[in-house]
Amino acid sequence: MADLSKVGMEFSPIVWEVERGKIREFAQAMGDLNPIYLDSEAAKKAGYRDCPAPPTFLTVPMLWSGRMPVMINELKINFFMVLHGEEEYEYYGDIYPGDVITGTPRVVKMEEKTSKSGSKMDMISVEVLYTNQRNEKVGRARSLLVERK
Amino acid sequence: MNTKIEKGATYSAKEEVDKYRAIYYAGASGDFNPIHIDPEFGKAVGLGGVILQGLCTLGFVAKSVTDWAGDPGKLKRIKCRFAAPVLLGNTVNTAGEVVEINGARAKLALKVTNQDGVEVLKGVEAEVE
Repeated sequence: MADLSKVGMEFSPIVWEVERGKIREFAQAMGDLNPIYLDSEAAKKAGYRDCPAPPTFLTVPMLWSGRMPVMINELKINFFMVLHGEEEYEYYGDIYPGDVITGTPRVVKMEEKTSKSGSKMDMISVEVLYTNQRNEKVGRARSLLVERK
Repeated sequence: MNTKIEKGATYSAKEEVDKYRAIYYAGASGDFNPIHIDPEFGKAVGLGGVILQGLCTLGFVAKSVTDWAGDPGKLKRIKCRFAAPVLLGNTVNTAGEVVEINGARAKLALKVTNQDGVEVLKGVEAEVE
């Protein structure tokens, strides 16, 4: 079960270079064929500097960096009993090809809850604020992990 | 779409989850949990097969909001609780309503259901500006 004493813990930063092909691939994988993700000319016509990353793109650095299993392990969460309970994204600025975004995952809340049926679970909230290479805030991701016990 | 964003405005959108969607999304997002790519594993753990990544479902919802608002840059926040699995072959229906206007910012409440009316995401909200 999760080690509830680790609330406040910070993990080493995720540093992620954003590739044009990954933006296109990610949009296409969700079936989002908005030309601003696929064609820089279309993006410029729509007022963007280049193809912006789609709204849920912040999942890419978290998952492709391999950070999630490391965090689950360090927080002593049982990998087979953990569910992704909630996700929230806030946006402060666009993310473009060539940007290098950096985010430090932080455990902001850990608590044990009891369901109506009486089963216990640990709720773990992890937050990552991402900044770009100019130290401008681009977005914040909050994930709630639920470990059934 | 050129949408008038005012309180009470509504929209709806629909996505069919094709049989390879979870594989595409695994490669793009890096979420290779076997429940999303291995039907045998999915059956063994009682899910009845492969289930779609919850964040892909949220991606569908985000797309519906940005299509409705007319510009992805208008989306400032989105949130959901993952409530029920989405299986390959399912339909994801999103119904959004502007419930609050605060200055330039509009808050939407969204109902996200499968083809049987089961809410697959709950507590879904988005803000556009």
